[in-house]
Formats: sequence, structure tokens, C-alpha cells
Amino acid sequence: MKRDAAGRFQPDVRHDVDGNPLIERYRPNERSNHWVTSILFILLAVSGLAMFHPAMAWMAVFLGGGQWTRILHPFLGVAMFLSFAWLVVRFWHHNKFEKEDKQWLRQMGDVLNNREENLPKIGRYNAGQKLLFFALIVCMIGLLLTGIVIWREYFSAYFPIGLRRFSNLFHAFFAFVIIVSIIVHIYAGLWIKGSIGAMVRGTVTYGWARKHHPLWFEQVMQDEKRAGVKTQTAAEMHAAERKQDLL
Amino acid sequence: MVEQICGVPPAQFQVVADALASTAVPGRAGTILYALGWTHHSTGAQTIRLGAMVQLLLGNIGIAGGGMNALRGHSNIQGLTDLGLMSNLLPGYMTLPFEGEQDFGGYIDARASKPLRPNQLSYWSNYKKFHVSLMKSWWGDAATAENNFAFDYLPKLDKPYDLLQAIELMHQGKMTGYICQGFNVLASAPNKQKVTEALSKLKFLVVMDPLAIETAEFWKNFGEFHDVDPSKIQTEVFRLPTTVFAEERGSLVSSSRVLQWHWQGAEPPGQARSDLEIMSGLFMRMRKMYQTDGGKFPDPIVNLTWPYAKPMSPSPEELAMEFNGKALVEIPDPKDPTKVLLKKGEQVASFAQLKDDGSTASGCWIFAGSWTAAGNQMGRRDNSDPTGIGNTLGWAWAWPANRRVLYNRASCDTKGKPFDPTRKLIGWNGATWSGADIPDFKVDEPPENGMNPFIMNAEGVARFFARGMMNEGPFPEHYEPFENPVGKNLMHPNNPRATSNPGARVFPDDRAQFGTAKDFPHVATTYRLTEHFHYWTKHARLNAIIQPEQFVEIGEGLAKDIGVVNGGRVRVSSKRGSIVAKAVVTKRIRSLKIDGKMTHTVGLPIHFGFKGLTKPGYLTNTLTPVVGDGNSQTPEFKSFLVKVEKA
Amino acid sequence: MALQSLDIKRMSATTVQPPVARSPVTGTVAKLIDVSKCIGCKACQTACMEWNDLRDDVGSNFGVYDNPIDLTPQSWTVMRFSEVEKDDGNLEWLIRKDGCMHCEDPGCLKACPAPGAIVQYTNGIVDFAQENCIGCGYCVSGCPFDVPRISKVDDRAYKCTLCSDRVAVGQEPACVKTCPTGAIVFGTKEDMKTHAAERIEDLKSRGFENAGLYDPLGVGGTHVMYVLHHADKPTLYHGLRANPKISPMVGLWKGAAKPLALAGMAAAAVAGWFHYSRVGPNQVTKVEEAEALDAARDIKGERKEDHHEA
Repeated sequence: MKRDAAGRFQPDVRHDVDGNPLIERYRPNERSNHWVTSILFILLAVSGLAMFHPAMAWMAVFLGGGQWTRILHPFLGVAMFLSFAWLVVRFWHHNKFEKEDKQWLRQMGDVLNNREENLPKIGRYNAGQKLLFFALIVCMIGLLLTGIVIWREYFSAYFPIGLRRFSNLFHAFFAFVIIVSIIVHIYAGLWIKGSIGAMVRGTVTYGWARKHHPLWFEQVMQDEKRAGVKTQTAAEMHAAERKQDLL
Repeated sequence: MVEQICGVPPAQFQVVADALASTAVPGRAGTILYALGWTHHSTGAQTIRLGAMVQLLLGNIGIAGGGMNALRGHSNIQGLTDLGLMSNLLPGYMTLPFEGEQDFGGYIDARASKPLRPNQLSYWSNYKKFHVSLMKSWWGDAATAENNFAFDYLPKLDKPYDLLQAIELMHQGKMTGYICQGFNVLASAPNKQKVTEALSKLKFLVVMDPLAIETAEFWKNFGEFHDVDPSKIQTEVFRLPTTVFAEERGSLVSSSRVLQWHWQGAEPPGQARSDLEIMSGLFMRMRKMYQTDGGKFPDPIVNLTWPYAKPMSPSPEELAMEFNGKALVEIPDPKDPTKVLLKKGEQVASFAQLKDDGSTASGCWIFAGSWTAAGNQMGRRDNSDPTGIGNTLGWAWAWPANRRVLYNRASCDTKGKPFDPTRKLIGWNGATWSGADIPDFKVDEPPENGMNPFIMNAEGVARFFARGMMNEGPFPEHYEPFENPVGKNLMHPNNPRATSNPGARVFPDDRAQFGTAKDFPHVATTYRLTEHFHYWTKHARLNAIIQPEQFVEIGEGLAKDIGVVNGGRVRVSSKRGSIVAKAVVTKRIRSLKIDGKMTHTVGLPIHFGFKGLTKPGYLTNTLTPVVGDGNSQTPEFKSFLVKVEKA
Repeated sequence: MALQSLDIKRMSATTVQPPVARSPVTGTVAKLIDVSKCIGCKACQTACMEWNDLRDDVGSNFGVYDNPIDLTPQSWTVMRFSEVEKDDGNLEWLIRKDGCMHCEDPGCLKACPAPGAIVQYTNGIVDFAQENCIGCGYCVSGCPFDVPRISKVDDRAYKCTLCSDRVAVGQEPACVKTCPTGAIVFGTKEDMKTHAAERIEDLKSRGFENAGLYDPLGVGGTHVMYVLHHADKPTLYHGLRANPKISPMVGLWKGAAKPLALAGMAAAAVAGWFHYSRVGPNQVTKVEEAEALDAARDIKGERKEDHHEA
């Protein structure tokens, strides 16, 4: 580990606790964009469920009570839409469907049973992730449009009652779909170890990348080759630095 | 002919005529309830007389469910006329003498009609008793047999001093002061411009009202709604806030002549005073000034009786007792002189006890019986109706003598048997008349003696042929309103002098301001809405909420002609002025084919003005002509000419 | 709320049924409005404002007699005027007192997400408890008659209460008391139906063959009923709905959708739990990390020996 000018040890950001070298998967702004979206989603899910089902009406307490829940929910919704839209702009080109995605989906049994070695090589995102991406886009747009129609404080009066009732029903439907989708998304993050780190720290190991997204791994390695980044474990890197120091 | 003049198709008229005619038989009854729709015309009195004639022909007078019934417009307008507050009246429908009636005896003879047929009651023959009792009530000991009971104190009319006359006199500068009591003359009188000019010429104007009415601010500019130059108006205006009815107690007389005593509901605000107090204050001051300074003929003022416990604040109870009347000396029983009929100072029980020798006093003979020795009959609240006919004799008190249906003798045949035994008002039982109503008749008069039901008339019967009393003539006649769409009377198309009521009085300046159909092709009528009462309720928030803004109503035909949609604005102009208002386009106003020509009507609800909580609006009397009924001088508000245009 | 808790039959946004031990032996109440007797005087509007201390704005005239032009949070009842020309050339001015119909199956209550904001008493009155209202406007979607109005001042929903406070102490609603023609009457629903039958017979005898009672079954019947001259054409009366019922979209949204959605979300979460506890986590092993490093070196053309020097 290097020492700074004052002699304090610098943490090593290019390796994990086991000394495995890391690849950057998400830059800081991408991670914050995601977390802003997520936090907003949690607040919206909590407030939305409170207004949807009496058994969860108690959850209004998290936003300050019934009136505040009703007031804040649509504002939060617009914020989440904008934050999510930005995520879409960032990740749009990574989520285009490729030919291996269909095959990957056909082998869902292998996916769910951790038999990844049987799966076709895929890139940065698997078909499941891409499906989530598009499902979220559809839901977000659906929620925004129906949400505006039922935003009683400012907009509902401009719409006919039939459209308002339809929007009440479909806002709930899109919310259901998005909540279930996010439950699956969160679960996947917990199940595929190392994924949380990608979005919290921004990095994944070479092993994680090669195992789950082999084509992306190869592409990153080509980039590292061009940039002259050597493949080193932490131990190897420290040894090289000591050697450098002694020289 | 009816269709040509009125636009009503014969078939529809037939339906109405058949329905009314079907009430001619015993067991069926029809009533005519009329209000301003009949009175606000230059032929109003004759129209009502015609209705009475029809009812007489149908046998509908004096029976249960029948009658010729005025629906009075204010809660106490009946009381106003009962107490003689018209300029030509004395209380109890007695009349002021005319200029030519300087002789008391002649005055009485002309009114105390003696029976013209044997055994008729001709009750006005008792006129002198009512009159002398009134004069004793007003001038007490100053009214004696020697001075004809102060007959000379009464003004003698050279002409009627009705509202239109008063405004004309103001307009000519001949009436220089005006006390406007509980009346919004600027709003309520025809031709607002004329009224404005008239008020502008006064030296002083006193407005006594609980509300801040337009009249009190006639001198202020309210833009398009009232365009005057205050710097040119010198009238000194006094505004005296009064109580409203709910802040007073007293009697109100309803359309069915029932005097109901009401109690006070709230205290008046601020420095508001009752009319009684204000009038008393004026009187006390004037009397003092006459007493100290003298003046031209002070006697009627300084000799007026004023026996009230608080001279500056007579109580309604004292006044009510005064109207009823009392014995001024002990009065023996005419049937048995040893017995006393009335003690000195005792309230009389009925007008039958009034005398013409000065021994009784009564402020209003028809009210005799309303406050007897037994107390305030007007406060009774027994609403039992034992026969189910709808007479509640124990609820308050009606004049005359608590009789609820006038001329109810006419409900029985010549033998005293009711025409409809299932709806008996009164009947002869061999000794007296009795039944569900108090007999409007001599109670012990046997039917075989031939006394007829119309006991106020000298003949005892009603009159188809009017002997005097109607200015136009003995029979009703159709005349057009003074502003009419046809320009002639279709019943007398070649006689221009018979176009409109020849008996009506029209001041020359007003005649000059009549318009013709050439310039003003549409017919206008004014009327009232349920949400408002005249010009009062625009000051009340709840009423303003339920009917907030001035509008006029036009039919779909007129709307199409002038290109106006529902809710759009229109200008309505007459020869006298113009107003702008929202238009309500309604199917309820039909265009009528008058003399073959499609004629449009515009309806003008009256209630709006430039004071109050409703959106500011125009006084509709900006448009109306100055001409009144030939007998009552009630202005012709209900039919005149205008031009309606898109605004 | 004016009544005790035992008098509540249904409450909005609750999952359990309120106690039902006590229910009126004489049945529910109803207000009967006989449109054939109504003269459109608006005394009922005025009495409602007076009793409930409401004061709307002084508005404008829009070319009709309706004032205000619509129900508002400060006008819980308005008269609606319709001019209808008949085949025989005659005109009928149909005037209907509009306001909450107090449905037996209230759509507002079904849609409302705020616990206790809308209650239905055992006597049939549907009341808003504004202290619990969150101002979302779902009641507007739920109502088949377009009645509730949300205040811009306090963001709560308001409507006719059928004078629940007066009824609770045995008085008739303010509009009933004041109506000068007796067009509005009040009593048990049974009595009102009996009275309506007499009125309908009278109307039929006078040529209104289609006179009838408006007590729509689509909402379970209502506790505000109309006697109509033309019961076959309710829409003549300023658009009174002919077959009102709670919209099927609302019925689904606040009906089957609730348990199904909850079950779906719970199922997704539970499925995850069971997947994890059956299949287990997906981890990258040390061997896979080493293999990845080798692959990386291969791709980058690095030799393995270079790294053994340290």
C-alpha cells in the first residue's frame, strides 16, 4: 500500500478485500443516479401502497401522514421519472437486444439453477436485465401519464371522468408491475453475489465479469490492454511497488 | 279576435275557459289569485273587476275554494291599505273628502249609502259611526259635535297625490321635500331618469330604511349604472337607519285579511330606530314648534291626541288597542238601559258597538275586534280546523269580525241551505246563521226576509253595471298598454282615442316619452324571481349567492334574430333609457303572433341595482313608462316597448 | 362524526367489518324529493348553507337559473333547471335538486384510501369525516353521480351530509324543514316509498303515465330518492343518470385488484426467499477468479512469468 506525503497508508481501490483486481462497472454519477431513483422508488412504493390498500394505509406515516402522502407522492413521481429518464439515456445503448438474448431466455432453467456455464456468452447485460429495463420504461411512462390524470391538485379537472377512472385502475396496475419488477431486480442483486458492490462501490472482480458477462469482460480487457493496464493481484501489485521503491 | 290580439290559439283558450266554466256547479269551485300581473297595467282595475264579474257568474264568490283573491306582495301591504295609507284613503277604506266637499253632512251622505231595496243591510250606511270614531281617536276632545268632529282638520283633495303625482310635483319643483319611508323610490318608480331629476330638485330628502338603498345615494355617480354629476345636485339627504320587521313586534295583515301578531326576533343594530320612534320624534318636535312659533293652521297638529306612555316611543300594543277602539264614556246596553254594554275606557268588541255621537273612538273600524277586553286576539295560535274545510277561526284574527270568507252568505241558497252541503261555510239553522265560518251577514236575519249577501252594497247584490267608482265606464273594455306593438286597439282599429285607456292620467312630459313600435319593436315586461324580494335581498349574502347577477330573458326566436347565445350580453333600450345585462335564452318565453306579426317579448327580472352584494346592475325602471292605472294610478310596469340588441 | 361507533355500518379503507350488533329495527332513513312539486325556489340551498355554516362566493349568471352553476365545497346542493319541450307543444320546466344520493353501495366509500374518511351509518347516511380526508379525489372517481367536491382551501372532500347531525337527534334535514311546497320529505325508507307510491298514483291520474320512483338498484338503492314525472327518462332532469352504478374500472381497482396485487407482490418476495434457500447464492469462487486472471493475461498478451518476480 502506498503512503501519502504525510506518511498515511492509502487504501487500494483497484482490488477487493481478497486482493482480486477490480474493473469499474459504474461510475460515481451513474451510481448516484441509480440510488436517487431507487430511494424515490421506495418512497413512492410506500406512499402508493398506503393509498392502494387499507392494510398498508399505516405506511402513510413514513411521509408524514395522509395529506402529506397525497401531496408528495406525485412530486416524487415526477422526480423519479426524470431521474429514471436520465438513467435510460445513460444505459440505452447497453440494453439493445442481441441475438444471444433469445437463447439465454430459452435456457431460463440454467439461469435459475446457477448453471451459467451452459449459457451463451452475453455482453454487459443479460436478457433478464434488458427485459427489466424495458418493463421499467413502459411502467414509468404509464405511471407518469396516468399519474398526471389522477393528480387531483393540479390536473384532474382537465380530464373526463372516464379517463380518470381508467387512470386510477392503470396507475395501480403499472405500480404493481413495477413493484414486482423491482422485487425481482433487488432479489437478483442479492442472489448474484458481487452485484451490490457494483452499484455501491462501482467495481466488480475479473471473475465476476467473466462469469456473468463474458463478452463484456473481453471487451474491458481489450480496453485495459490498450490503456496498458497490467493484470495484477493485490499481492502482485504491492510486490511490484516495493521493488520500485527499492530501486 | 282573442288570438289576434293576444296570440293565444283558440284551442288552448278553450281548455282554460272550459276548466273555469266547469266550476259553475255546486260541488266545484274556482278561485282567481292575482297579483302584479294584473295590477301593473293601465287597465288593471278593470281587469280585476272583470275577474270578479266572471266569478260572480260562476257562483264562485263567497264559497269555500272560491273568491277573487289578491296575492299581496309584501307581508303587510294589506295592512297598509287597511290603515288607509294611500293618499286618498282614511283607515278602514274610508275616503278623504274632495275639495268640493266642504260640508260634513254632504261628505257623509255621499258615502253612507242607504239601502236601495227593502231589507238590505247596506252596511256603509253606518259610515258616520266609523268616521266619527276615527276623528275621536285622532283629535279626542278637540273633535266635538259642535265642530263636526274636526271635519275641517282633514285635508280636502284637489287631485290624487299618488306616487306618480308626487314625482311629477318634485320634477316641477313644486314639492321640495320628501320623506321616503321604507321605500326605494329610485328603484321602484317608473322612469328612473325622471326620478333622478326629481330628487335632484328637492331641498331635502329623508330616507328611512334599514338598508343602504340606491335612493339614499341617488346623488352619487355609479358609472354606467347611474351616471350623475354630484356637483350639480344640491339636495340635502338625511339617512335614518330603521329597524326591520324581525326587530319589531306588531301585527302583519296577510292577503286573506288575517292580522297575525308577531314578536320581536332580534335587537336592532347600532343606532337603528323603529319607524314609530322616528315618526314620533318628528311629530313631537313639529308640535312643539307649532306651539311656540305658531303657523298656518296649527290646530290639526297641536290637537292631535298623543296618549302614549312614552311619547317618543309609542308601543305597538298601544297602537293596536287604539285601532281596535274603545268606549270614551260608559255606554248602556241598548236592549236594557239598566245594564252597561261598555265601561268607560273599555275596548269595543266589534264595529257594531261604534257610535256616531262621539262616545266611541276607533283608529280603524275594520280592526274592531282585534284587541278586545279579552286581550290581543291577533296573538291566538289555535290552528284547529274541526270541520276540515280549512278555516282556523282560533288562529290570530281576521277582519271584519274574524270572518274568513267575505260574502259567505252567497254560499247558501235563498232558503239558507248551503249549495254544497259537503263544504258548508255557514247555514241557517232556524234561529241563526252559523257554521265553519263567522257569518259575513246579520247573524239573526232569517233568509225569507230577503237580505242579500253583498251587505256593503246598497242593493245587496254585486254589480255588473258599475254606478260610478270606475273612471273608465260601467263595463270593462279592452285597451292596449300605452306602449303597444300594434299601434292600435284591434277592437277599435279606426278610433285612435280608444287605443289605450282614455280614463288614465298621463302627464304631458311623460306622454312625450312614450315610444312606438317603429323604434322599439320588442315587448318588455318586468317580473320577480323566487330568489329575491324586490330590492332588499340583493343586500343579503345568501340570496346573492343563489341569484348573483342581473339577467334578462329572451325567447329562442328573438335570440336567433339578434344573434345572441345563452349567457351572452344584450342591450335593452326604451325611449327612456337603456340597460345591459346577461341574456338567458329560454323556451319559456314564446314569440306570439299578434295581429299576424311575430312579436318577441323580453322578460326583465327587477331585483338588481348598484347597491348590495349581487354583481352591480341596472335598475330596470330605467326603461319603464310613466303612466298608471286609470283608477289606482299603479304604474304600467308590465307591458311596454323596447329594443333588444346584442351588446 | 355525530353518531356512536356502533352505528357505523361501513368505513372507508378498513380491512375488517365494523360491529354490526345494532341496526335500526325501523330500517334506514331516506329523503324523498318529489320533482313534480318542486318550484325551484332554492330555499333548500339556503337552508343548507345556513345550517352548515357554508357561504359560497357570489358568482355570475351563465344564462341559466342554476346558481351556483355547480356543486362546490361550499354548496352541497344546487337546483338544476331543464326546459323540455313535449310533443304536444307544451313545455315542462323540470327542476331537480342535485346533491349526494347517499347510495346503499357507495362508490365514494369503496374508492377512498383514507381510513375512516367516509363512513356509512346503519341508517343509510353516507358521511365524510373530513378530519381523516387526504384530499386525493378518489371519491370523485368512485361516485357515479359526480357529487364530491374537493376544497381548494383545505384539500378535503365535501358533500351533503343528509344532516346527519340533525338526524342523530331526531330532527329532519334542514332542506326538508324549509321546503315550502313539501316537495322534500323525510322518514324511514319504507315510509318514503309508501308516500312515493301515493304521489305516483296521483301523477298518473293526471296524465303522467310514466311517473315513477328513482331509487336505482345499480348502487343498491339510494337514501335520496326522486319522484319523477318521467321516470322512464331520468336524463331529462339535467342529465340524471339512467342506470347509475359504480364504474367497473373502480370496482376492479378497489375490488379484486387489491388482494390480487398484494398476493402478487408477496408471492414475488416469497418466491425469492424460496429460490435462495433452495438454489443458493450465485458466487464467484477463488478458482473462477484465478481463471479470470489467466484469461485476462491471455487477452492482454501478458506472460504469467512476469508476475512471479516479486
